[in-house]
Amino acid sequence: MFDRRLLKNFDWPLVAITLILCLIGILTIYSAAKPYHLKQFASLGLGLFALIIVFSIDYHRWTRWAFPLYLGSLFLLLSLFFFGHWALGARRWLPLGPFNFQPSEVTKITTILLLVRFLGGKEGEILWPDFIISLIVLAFPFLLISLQPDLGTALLFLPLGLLILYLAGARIRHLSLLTGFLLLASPLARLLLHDYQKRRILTFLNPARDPLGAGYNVIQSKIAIGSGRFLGKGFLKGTQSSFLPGHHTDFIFSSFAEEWGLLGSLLLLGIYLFLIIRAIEISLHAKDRLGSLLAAGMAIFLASQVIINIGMATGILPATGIPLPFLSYGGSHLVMDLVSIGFLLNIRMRRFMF
Amino acid sequence: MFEKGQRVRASLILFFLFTFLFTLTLRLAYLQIVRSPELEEKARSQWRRTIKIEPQRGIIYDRRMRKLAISLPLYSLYARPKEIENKEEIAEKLSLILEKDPPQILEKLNKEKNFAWLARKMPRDLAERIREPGISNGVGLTEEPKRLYPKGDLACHLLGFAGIDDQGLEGIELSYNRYIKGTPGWLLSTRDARGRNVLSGEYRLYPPSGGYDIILTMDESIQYIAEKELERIYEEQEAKSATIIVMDPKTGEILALANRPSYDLDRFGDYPPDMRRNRAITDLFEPGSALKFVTAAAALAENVVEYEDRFYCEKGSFRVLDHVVHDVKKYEWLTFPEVIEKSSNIGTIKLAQELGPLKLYEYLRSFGFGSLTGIDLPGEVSGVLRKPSKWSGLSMAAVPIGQEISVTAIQLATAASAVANGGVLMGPWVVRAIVSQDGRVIKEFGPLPIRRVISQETASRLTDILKGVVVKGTGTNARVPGYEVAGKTGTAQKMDPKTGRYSQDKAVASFLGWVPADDPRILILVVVDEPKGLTLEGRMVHYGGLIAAPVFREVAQRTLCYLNVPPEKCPRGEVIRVEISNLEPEVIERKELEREEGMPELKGKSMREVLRILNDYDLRPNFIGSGWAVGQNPFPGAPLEEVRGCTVWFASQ
Repeated sequence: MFDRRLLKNFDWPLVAITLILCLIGILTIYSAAKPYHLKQFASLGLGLFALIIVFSIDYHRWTRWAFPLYLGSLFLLLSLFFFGHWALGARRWLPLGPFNFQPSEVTKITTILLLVRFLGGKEGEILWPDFIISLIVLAFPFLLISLQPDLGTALLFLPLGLLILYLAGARIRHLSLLTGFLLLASPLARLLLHDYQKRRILTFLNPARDPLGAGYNVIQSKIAIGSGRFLGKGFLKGTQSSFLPGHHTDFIFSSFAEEWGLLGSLLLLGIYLFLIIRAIEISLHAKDRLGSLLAAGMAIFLASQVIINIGMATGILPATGIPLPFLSYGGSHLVMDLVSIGFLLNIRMRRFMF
Repeated sequence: MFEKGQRVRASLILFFLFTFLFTLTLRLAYLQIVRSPELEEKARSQWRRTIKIEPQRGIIYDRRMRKLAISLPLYSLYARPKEIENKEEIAEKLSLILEKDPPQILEKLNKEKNFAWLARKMPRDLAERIREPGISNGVGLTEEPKRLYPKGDLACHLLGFAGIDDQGLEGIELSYNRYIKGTPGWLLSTRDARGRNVLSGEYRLYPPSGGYDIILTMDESIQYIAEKELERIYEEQEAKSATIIVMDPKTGEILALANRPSYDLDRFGDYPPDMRRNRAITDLFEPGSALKFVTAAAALAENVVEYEDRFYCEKGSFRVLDHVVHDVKKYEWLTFPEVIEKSSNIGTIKLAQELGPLKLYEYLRSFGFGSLTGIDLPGEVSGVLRKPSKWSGLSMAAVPIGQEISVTAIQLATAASAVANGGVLMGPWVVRAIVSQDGRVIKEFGPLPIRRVISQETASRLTDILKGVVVKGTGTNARVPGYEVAGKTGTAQKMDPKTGRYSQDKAVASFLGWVPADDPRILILVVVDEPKGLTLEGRMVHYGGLIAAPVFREVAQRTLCYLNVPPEKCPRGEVIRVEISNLEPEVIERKELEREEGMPELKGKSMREVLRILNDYDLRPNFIGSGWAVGQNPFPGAPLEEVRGCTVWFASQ
């Protein structure tokens, strides 16, 4: 099953950069929320194990399993409504012994996998029926996740799906029709939105509207980042974590930027940029259309989350519960981030094998 | 593997990715550079909204561990409103103790906060009552220190004070603030953007840690003696200001330092800055004749003069260019020692001419004039000593006698202590040690020799001449029975800023001296600025020998007694007869006396016994302390005809 010659094309720099990011994450968690770094360390071990399994099996085989994997993750999402653990006003976690498992994280990857498998087989133009089928693939997780309710994570499927469709060769006409429909539907969505979701969007437009509630996180995040100034306060010298909810999860970037300053933040952005360029490179040099699309899917998966998360922390995008890849505390997403790296390694090392 | 069309799409996506990342970079730069001062201030204000708990400032002790500045713990009452159930009842009870209206307290208790102050900095007895059962739930006390100076205005200029925010503002409190201050603690209650609680509502206490204690070289008893005498002359002479410095000339330790006017440290805010200034180190004056010892030291050291050399003193008036220098009396021929003893201006100028301006300047610099002494107190100035190249034709008729040169009192005392100390200039210092509250020594200070100014031999020859000043010269009022004193008087006419000439009725009267002359324990400098003067032979005079020397005598006498320095020249039975009232007594009489004829021995007797004995001798008693007699002044065996009163020190055991 595993050919040793494959290791010749193993992308060590990509693994190194991934581990550096995970280490930065653990150190920042150590500084902002001490005991949690140990659990994150355990998750890292689990994730590396998953990474090895993912790249050991040829990605063609993985895509062949895409449909059952997709169905399985939808089933997990459904089970949340019966066994889900209530926290922060939503059922997002399945209690699994000492860990809480977050099915939506898995669904991000399985949905990309299924989408890529479906579109990867279509040479040439993507026709109406294929476009609609792709949208249906995206619609199930979107609905199930937004019903948890976790609209932020659900909305991530929009850029994810649209970009993959665009790359796969969907017609611009179809895509613009869909975008137009979404824009028209958004006022309607107001009726369906939960109060807290409406508030979040409104306070994004004007944080001072509700400094205590939804705007609070963003204000505190900006204070933490801004008070880091150019050189930062120094490792373990941060003062704002007690004022900043999610200082080790969704807002870990703020904790990092407070202690390492603009210099550290830009360095971190640079590392992410390196990682994403590496992924795109893998996509461009993949041996077949399936590999290219899958690698591009993973690149989009990582890049969109980095941009949304840091955009949220700096207050230019609305606050949504999107974690920062590799850094944020949380086992499920860390494991899935490493799985995506596993796929990238997988595609790269098989690029010359026919 | 993409087709061509997809590659175009891929690069378009890449372009968007770069645009996004570039936007994030700009946004970060905006937050962390452009808006960072404002956001940093916000971050800090969130911390400041947590309650700072002032640390206890360290204690300032005198050299014998007597407390001069202390921090008294006061108590502040806070409430944790969320934990209180029976709010009305507690407000009712507290209103009785705090003497506030119940609704006022209730309002604070009803706040949606984890924490609210109910009363700040209240005394202990009030705090004790709050500890009564029934009102302790959800209400707590923390200590907040308040700085107190139990000795009032004693050594105020030396100690300085700490402001309301416990920051040292003057004196030792300022120069050693870093050590005394301690580290503040924090009472952290998690608060959010509206000042309400967001998180679990915990509050945490980071206790403050107290500052280090300071041990001074100053001795409270000597300081007290010095201040009392200084106060007396300041009042009597209606002087503009007055300064006294008592040093140990061998080590440079400041044993006492005081200025008048002074102020009460506990109410420092009520006094103008003018009264709070430590004039001994911040104010300049022309020392006048007091500086002649430097001219003499230079002349001796450079071997330009012998003891027997005679100077013609021009019958009291000597023309230098268009200027006439006068002496107090119309002297003709004076020997070198006599020039100094009688403080002849003309003789000293002629002496300096032998020396030349360069050598004179060199010695003045070497004695420390024109530069800081480096004393560990804030605000010292270096004085004015111009270079010889900038001297005028008149300067050689001014500088040798202490004009055209401005000095601080600490400079003058330090310079004189170099002579007393056998020629080595010692840096003055006021702090002996810094110790932690658990008794660890953090820093220890020792004598700081700066340089050898004159040889040991020159120093002792100069000391002999300066003994003459006190024995038969201008300083006879400084004589201390039983001890040999070396010293120099100073009477400096002040420059009238209006006329640019030396004024006739404004002067600085000074005396500097040390005792015992050959093995000094103390060096004292007394400076009285603009005394109203005394009448002598029908004239108003401002002589240092008349105004400052008696202060020296009183302080020296009592300090020597306090320090248990044995009288040297008067073993029992032998005494020196002194005529204190005369400005220039020529005679010293030695008389053999039976011990019984002099002062009785009082040591070891009770107050009642001492009182009875002094009554028998018809002496006015002056008692200090309580218990049994441990010291007395005059000493046992002193001739009774000189004595009108007797000071006796008592101590228990």
